[in-house]
Amino acid sequence: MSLSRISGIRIAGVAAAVPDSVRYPSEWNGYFGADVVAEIVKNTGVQKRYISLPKMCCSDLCVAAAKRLMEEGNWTPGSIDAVIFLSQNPDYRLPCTAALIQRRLELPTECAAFDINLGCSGYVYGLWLACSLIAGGGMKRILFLSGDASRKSSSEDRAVGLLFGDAGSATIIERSEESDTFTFVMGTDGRGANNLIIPAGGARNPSDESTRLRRPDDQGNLRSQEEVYMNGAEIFAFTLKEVPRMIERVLAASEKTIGNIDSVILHQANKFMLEHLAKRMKIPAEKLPLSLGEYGNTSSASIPVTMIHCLREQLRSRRMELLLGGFGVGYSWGAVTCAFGPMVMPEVALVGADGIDQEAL
Amino acid sequence: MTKQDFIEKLEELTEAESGTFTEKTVLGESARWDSLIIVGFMAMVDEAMGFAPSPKDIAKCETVGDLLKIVSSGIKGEKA
Repeated sequence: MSLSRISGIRIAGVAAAVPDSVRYPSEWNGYFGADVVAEIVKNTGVQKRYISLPKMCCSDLCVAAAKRLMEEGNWTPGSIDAVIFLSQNPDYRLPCTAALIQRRLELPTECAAFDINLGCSGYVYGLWLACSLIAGGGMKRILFLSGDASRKSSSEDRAVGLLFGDAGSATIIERSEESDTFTFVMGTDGRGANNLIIPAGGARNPSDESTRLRRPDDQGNLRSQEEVYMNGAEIFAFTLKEVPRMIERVLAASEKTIGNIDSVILHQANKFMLEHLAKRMKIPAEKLPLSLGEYGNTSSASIPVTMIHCLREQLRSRRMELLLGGFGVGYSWGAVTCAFGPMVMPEVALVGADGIDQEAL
Repeated sequence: MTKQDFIEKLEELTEAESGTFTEKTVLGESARWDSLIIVGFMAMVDEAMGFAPSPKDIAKCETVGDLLKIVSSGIKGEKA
């Protein structure tokens, strides 16, 4: 597991945005049956989700979050040295979405802009990369955007149809003299790639009529090859193996214990899984905030959404020792410990049709 | 954990009536056995025995007795 310690940097602000359209699990009662829906909800903990309007992209949510954050923190576009967009839902196959965001936020043309393709582990990776760019070069302030829009999961697949919500986040990372040390650990195991995958629509299996057709699997779920396949049992086995190790490692490397940490914010994968992991790692329930009930699993936005939903008042007013941990698709995982706050943190914004890129093709 | 404890926990997990399972009970027939239950089974074994059986091994099991075999290292009096 790779390990890095970075100082002289702080997280100055975090914001998030979701579409203004809400979906409830009961809407699926007619399809899966009310009993099955109730069991899924009991397991996942997802009571409602925000789902994008047609044509709305993850970037629209991230841009809304970034605008709100820059306004509240009084950060001018000219002060941003780089923008990083981390998502598995780019606007187009090319160009990179970060270039479009540079235009939409009127960031300077001197600004560096690029995309990263990661999911559930992505928020920690993005913080690590932003911190590294500041520590290793001349950059002073970075705008890091992350999230996903879940249009790629089949509504007729019990494994994923009621799990994912859409959200975009924006985080400002900047150079600072008064800061704690960020301790990061990261890991990857590509042997698990097939257990959480959209197999077609990329270069390996290009899109055609047959890859777009929903077919039943051996459990009666309907899904096309261009929609997310998730083997829940294998993902659970992976998290049981790697997440406790990742957390032990980051605590040891930062010379902290769960007792020193105010809050452990894990990727909001699934309530049953998170509660089991917490029991295994002896993390008290009050130190494990959950936002799944309100927002669902929002991929690389789930950590910032949980920070805002559960800890906003505290993070706006004081310093908190946090441990953030992301894990999932890849398999890929990462965790960080640091003192966070006080920081700029607006409430989660709602994005309507007017938030869609007006210059989109 | 004894064999009997294991069978009782499995009955509880699958919401079956207490005392109805034997090693010959077929999974998916009298014992409810679907993807959510399988994840619950992994968590149950992990909590009680400190390891989780692999989903591939679980998929090969047809009866309660087969499940007992793949967790035998955690069952008192059974050979691993």
